[in-house]
Amino acid sequence: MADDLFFSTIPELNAMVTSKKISAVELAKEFAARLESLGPKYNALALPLTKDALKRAKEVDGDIKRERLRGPLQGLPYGAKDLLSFAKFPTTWGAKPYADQKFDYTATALTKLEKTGALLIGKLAMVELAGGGGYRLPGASMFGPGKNPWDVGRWSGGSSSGSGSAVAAGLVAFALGSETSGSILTPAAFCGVTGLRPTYGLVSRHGAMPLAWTMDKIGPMCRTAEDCGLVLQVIAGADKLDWASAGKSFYYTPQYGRAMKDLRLGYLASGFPGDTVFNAAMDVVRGFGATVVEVKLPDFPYGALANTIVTCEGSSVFEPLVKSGGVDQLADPKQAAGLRAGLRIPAKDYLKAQRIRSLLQQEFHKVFSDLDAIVAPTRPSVAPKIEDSLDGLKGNLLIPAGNLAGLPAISVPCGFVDGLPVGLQFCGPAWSENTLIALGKEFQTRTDWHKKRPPV
Amino acid sequence: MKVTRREIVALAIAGAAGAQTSPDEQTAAQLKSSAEALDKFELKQDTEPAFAFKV
Repeated sequence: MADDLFFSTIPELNAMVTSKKISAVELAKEFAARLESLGPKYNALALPLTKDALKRAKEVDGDIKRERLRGPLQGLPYGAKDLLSFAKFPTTWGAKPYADQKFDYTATALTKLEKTGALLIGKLAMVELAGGGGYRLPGASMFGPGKNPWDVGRWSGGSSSGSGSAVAAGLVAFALGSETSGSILTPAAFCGVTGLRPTYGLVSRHGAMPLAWTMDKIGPMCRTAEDCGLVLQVIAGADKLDWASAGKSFYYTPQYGRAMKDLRLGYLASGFPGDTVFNAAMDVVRGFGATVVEVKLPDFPYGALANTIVTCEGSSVFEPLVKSGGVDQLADPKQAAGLRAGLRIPAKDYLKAQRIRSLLQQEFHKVFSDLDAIVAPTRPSVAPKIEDSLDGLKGNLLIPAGNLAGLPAISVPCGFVDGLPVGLQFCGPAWSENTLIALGKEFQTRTDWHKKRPPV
Repeated sequence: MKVTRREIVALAIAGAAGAQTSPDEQTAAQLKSSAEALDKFELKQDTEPAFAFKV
């Protein structure tokens, strides 16, 4: 089978399936075989679900034969971060203490995908407990370090490591990841794929591992911005099983998008691995015809806020693991140390962080009263080496800022530095996913970075 | 005793990381630094926390 199939976009694959050029069973077999053979090369595969997927693929083919068409994801094989429960199959959260864990219910996002005929062919590896205790090793996972398809000596990013590398290597048509503070955008940038972090509350987290309940989000990782819109449309929506559900739906409506020339964008001009790449990407953005102005983020202690809130909430969630001593089975001792220490953070610090956070949210409302999106490098570095400590890994304040404010963002591939992909992020006000996807799509209409393939 | 390649890599990585500061020390330093940053931030008395977090 030609490699082109595995790097096709969702509309391309959908056209093949609905025109019966390829059956859902054949497509699932092809992708599942590739995921099972290449997934281990990147430590990307947590659990193959081929048998179950093929059974459902037969039903999808029956539906298509009877012209019961269920939308663009029908018959498309995908993978999900192993933080989402799939009834009766192991859901490990990437952590040894939970290696045998099974739930008797399926995560809402997966149920929604199943209803449209998408086929879950595998659970994808992740950083243990989504890195909640704070990790400093790429190997902080029971599956080993996520390896980057562009260079297996490099990390794929975290914590949605397997989702990033599986999409990049063409092992799945698309994947689901999750983000508390950077876990979709980081692997998207490092692996050269498109990742979308939705507004907090847009996608149900029912059936997902809780890490920091005021910050957790589920989102798509795909080949293109348009693909992200098509997946988000399915997984978004009200869910009584998630207390934080905003009760909102999302309809991907590019036909109603505002003209690019009417948009006002702010860019953050801080540190990029090779300013020439960022400058070139910004030249492309300026070519959209939108107004582009330089901006600075409001002055807040972003790192301290995110660190305090994630550590406190994560330690509370995993208190039983800490108390049982199971925490010492984690691959990265820093995670165990973080989860233990988080239980000792004074309530005054957590409350102060949340009080500052309410001001931060107000400030971002003001920022976006004058702007439609902020554009910046997704990460100011390329993927680090597998053996490197993550202590020195440079961050980008827009990631904790956007997560603390609950704002959506999209990361699109925007070039290469030292042979490794880097990403550009567009972050917007709450519920601005259609605008962000339109910006990503415009960028991808004018560039072909998202079409580059790693040497699989 | 059989040692897998993955275990050797994990030991090497852990060794390299451990050569710097211990995980407990590093975590304590990070939390102290976070607490200090929060302390410096002045708030009006009526600022309420973003508890029921909705955007």
